[in-house]
Amino acid sequence: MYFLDYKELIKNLVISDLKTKYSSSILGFAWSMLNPLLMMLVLYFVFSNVFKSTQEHFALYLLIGITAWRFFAMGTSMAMSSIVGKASLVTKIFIPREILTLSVVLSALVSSLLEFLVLIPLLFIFGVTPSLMILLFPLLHILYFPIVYGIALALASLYVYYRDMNQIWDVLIQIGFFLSPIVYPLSLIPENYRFYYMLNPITRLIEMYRDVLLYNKLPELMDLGIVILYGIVLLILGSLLFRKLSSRFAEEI
Amino acid sequence: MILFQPPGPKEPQQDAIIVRNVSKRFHIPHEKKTKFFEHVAGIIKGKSSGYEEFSALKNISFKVKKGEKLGLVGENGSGKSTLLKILSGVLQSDNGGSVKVFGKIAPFLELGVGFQPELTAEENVRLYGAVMGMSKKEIEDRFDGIFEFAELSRFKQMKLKNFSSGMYMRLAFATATATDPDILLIDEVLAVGDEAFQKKCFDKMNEFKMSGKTIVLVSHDLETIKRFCDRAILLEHGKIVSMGNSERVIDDYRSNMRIIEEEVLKKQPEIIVLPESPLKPVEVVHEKVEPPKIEPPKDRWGSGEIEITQVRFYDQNGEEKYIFRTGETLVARITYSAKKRIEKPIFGIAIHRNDGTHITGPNTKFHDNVIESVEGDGIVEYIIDSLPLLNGTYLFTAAVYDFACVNAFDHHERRFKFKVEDEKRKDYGIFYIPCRWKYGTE
Repeated sequence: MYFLDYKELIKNLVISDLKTKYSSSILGFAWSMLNPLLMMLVLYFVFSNVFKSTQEHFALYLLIGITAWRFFAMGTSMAMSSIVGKASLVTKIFIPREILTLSVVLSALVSSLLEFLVLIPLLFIFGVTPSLMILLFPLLHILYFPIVYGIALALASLYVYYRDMNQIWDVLIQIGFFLSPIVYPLSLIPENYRFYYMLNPITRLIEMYRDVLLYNKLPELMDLGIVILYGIVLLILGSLLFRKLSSRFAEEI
Repeated sequence: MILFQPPGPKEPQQDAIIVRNVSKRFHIPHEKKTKFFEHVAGIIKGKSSGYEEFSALKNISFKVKKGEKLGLVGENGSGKSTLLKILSGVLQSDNGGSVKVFGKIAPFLELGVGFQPELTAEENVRLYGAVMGMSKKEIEDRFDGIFEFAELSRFKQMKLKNFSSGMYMRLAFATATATDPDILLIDEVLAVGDEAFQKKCFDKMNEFKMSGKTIVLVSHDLETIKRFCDRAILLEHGKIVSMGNSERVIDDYRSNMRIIEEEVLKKQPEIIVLPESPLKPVEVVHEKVEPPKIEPPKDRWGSGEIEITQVRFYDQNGEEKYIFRTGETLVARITYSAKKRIEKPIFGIAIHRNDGTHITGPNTKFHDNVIESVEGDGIVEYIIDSLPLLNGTYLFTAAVYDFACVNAFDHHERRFKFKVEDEKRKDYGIFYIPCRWKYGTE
């Protein structure tokens, strides 16, 4: 497997990606924290009047949703340019090209973990005492990863051929944000649409993150199973597409 | 498909690279569609997206033995770089072709691949080392050596964006060569940095050569290939036209080039004979405005009573020739046509180097060789028994004047061209002056 043969390269690429990401702006890592917090504040003021009564700890509710969504949004959109943005590593040397996408998604994973780490003290501040359920959090992130990585592989390889993919994806991300229970509770969705609504695996993940962090509830096994299934299918489809398209990367870039 | 295999002992044949039936066609679309929407629009409109095919490589097969130094030569666009990219795995051969590589391969298609300007030199060395396939331990072990070799030990913590281009290349070269691969693919990157560092690079390359590494080298510098490689492959339009001992292949290449160049030079400006109107003298013609006739070319003037109709170059055997060696015989044959009897015309020539240096300008009067009279067609030959000129491109002027050398009958200013190409005579300057050297102690 390419992961093992190239683990030193992957590690270095992730580190350099994180370093350039955080050292090129003045506030560096703080941005990565401030962004979800500010977004939470804005959304809180906008939506608190609408949903406050129905949702306790609405601020945390929002923040968990936003942070969980961010891994998907940031991971996929940054990974999209992972091939095009490192053209010389494609045209001047041979390394398995999946590595370029993998390292970007891994770096997004690290960022996401850091964001969640900042979230934990906020739980206490807002008066929620997390239980041992919080230990399930890493598991959720592990299940989340293949979903993001699978989609990222597909996007990164398509982007080499279609350079307006990023604009299309930006729109889809926007739509996805409102099609996931981030700013509103799941109960808002009418019963007869619920089945289609729940086809979105991110919905289930967001709900599970809230279960373990906010409500001290064990995630439902069926949700876990469906998310795992999504991860496997997306990873396989993404890899197949990537492999098919990657043979002509060096010519198309 | 590239198969990486460790050079196991069970592999008795000592091949490092086996290339079989490799072809590469590139699709050049008539209109490049890089937008998803453009594709959708194209499908809806029912337009077929046509493309042209360009065959960069056609059915290439060869083997490289372990420890062999192979040179790839050919003109621009002959497919050398494409071949190197296929060997390195960057590009893939079209269906049916295969490349097998035995051992650790390091492509030097470009130095500093993946360098990040925002990171420090140290971080970049780690990153680039990993890109080139070094393990963590290997990088740590060779870390100081890399900086020493690059002469950049003081700048470990400096961000790469603050490096000069020379420093950048030195760091890249030092890191790349530290990989210690079994097989090196090199694409004309030998010329790096200042002279002192270039020497170091060359020493490093020789070190690789001596230590029995397999090297595939693409270069325009034929001398480098000759000196460095045991074997060479000459590519022409994507095909192997010559393969074997590097000296022989380079000679083939040179003679090919010579034939092509001769062909180009043979197309000396065909002299347009203007029968009705004699060539206008350059002096201002104060006649009434006439309807514009065919403009005589700016580099030709004269009354046209005698016309120079052709200038050709020959060697001592009478073979038409435009590329000479230093010391060869050069015959410039000037063909003329005199419309009427002209007394004592003076034929003259001039040779300029293509940078404008006037080398010589004799005529038949200076040399007491005046022809009594001419009428009708004839030739004049200007013969240099032993051409003293060194490598370069030379422009030739041919003219015929009246005896006073004032009024031109026909003057062709630097309209003809010949070259001197001599691999053996490498002296600097314009002339080879016969000389001797003597040694002794006082």
